Amino acid sequence: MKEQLIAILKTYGYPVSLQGSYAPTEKYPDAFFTFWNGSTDDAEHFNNGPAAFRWEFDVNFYATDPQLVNDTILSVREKLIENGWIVQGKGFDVPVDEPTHTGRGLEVLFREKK
Amino acid sequence: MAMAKIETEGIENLIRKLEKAGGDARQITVRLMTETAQEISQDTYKALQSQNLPRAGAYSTGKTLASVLTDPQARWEGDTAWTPIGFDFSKPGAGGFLISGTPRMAPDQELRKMYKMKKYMNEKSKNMMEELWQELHKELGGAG
Repeated sequence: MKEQLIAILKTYGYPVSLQGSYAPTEKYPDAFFTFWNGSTDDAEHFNNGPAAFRWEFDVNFYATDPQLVNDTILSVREKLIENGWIVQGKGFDVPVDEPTHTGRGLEVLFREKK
Repeated sequence: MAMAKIETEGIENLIRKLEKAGGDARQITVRLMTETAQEISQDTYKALQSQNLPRAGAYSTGKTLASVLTDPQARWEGDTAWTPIGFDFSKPGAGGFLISGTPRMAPDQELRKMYKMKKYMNEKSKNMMEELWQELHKELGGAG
């Protein structure tokens, strides 16, 4: 599911990387995505084994343009829902360690049948 | 600051009955809620002591630790009891960064579990409500 998420985010044309993967002094692009897979729990069981998995991700978008941040996160929400993802709410602000950028995030889930 | 709120729905009648009978349901609620908030602070301190913190724990000293609520106190506002929990975001510190991460720093898994995912807080809330229900019920002598 990670690959599918990355593929969807890449359709926007911005860099996509794992949260925390930028080097300490690496300059941020003007706009970019990060993601983090927080958990992959068993969602249901059958015959003493998992029958489905619940993938949980944070998807973050950072940019120097606050309007782009707002618009892109809302667009990503729609696109993920169209592709079968469950998206909690319409996003939340995420702190960013550069004064040039703002960020918003989404909590997204996917129920994968085994 | 991140805030927890107790939902009095479902136990309002019990609280009213106890108050009618001369008991102090509000004080019991504040005590249990404060204890829960203090447990959350202790768990937060433990997570910040971890040697596995991102960036080798560079954010685990000084300002971040100082921004953890040391003595959260629950209170009533009208019919709702609530308590602050976790970090005081009005103080400088890196609590927010540790929970969500930054592009240069992975989120701290323990803090993320506590503050972003629902399971930890739901369990704390559920345990607190069960204990509250039992104490209120006991105060009423098992009646109501």
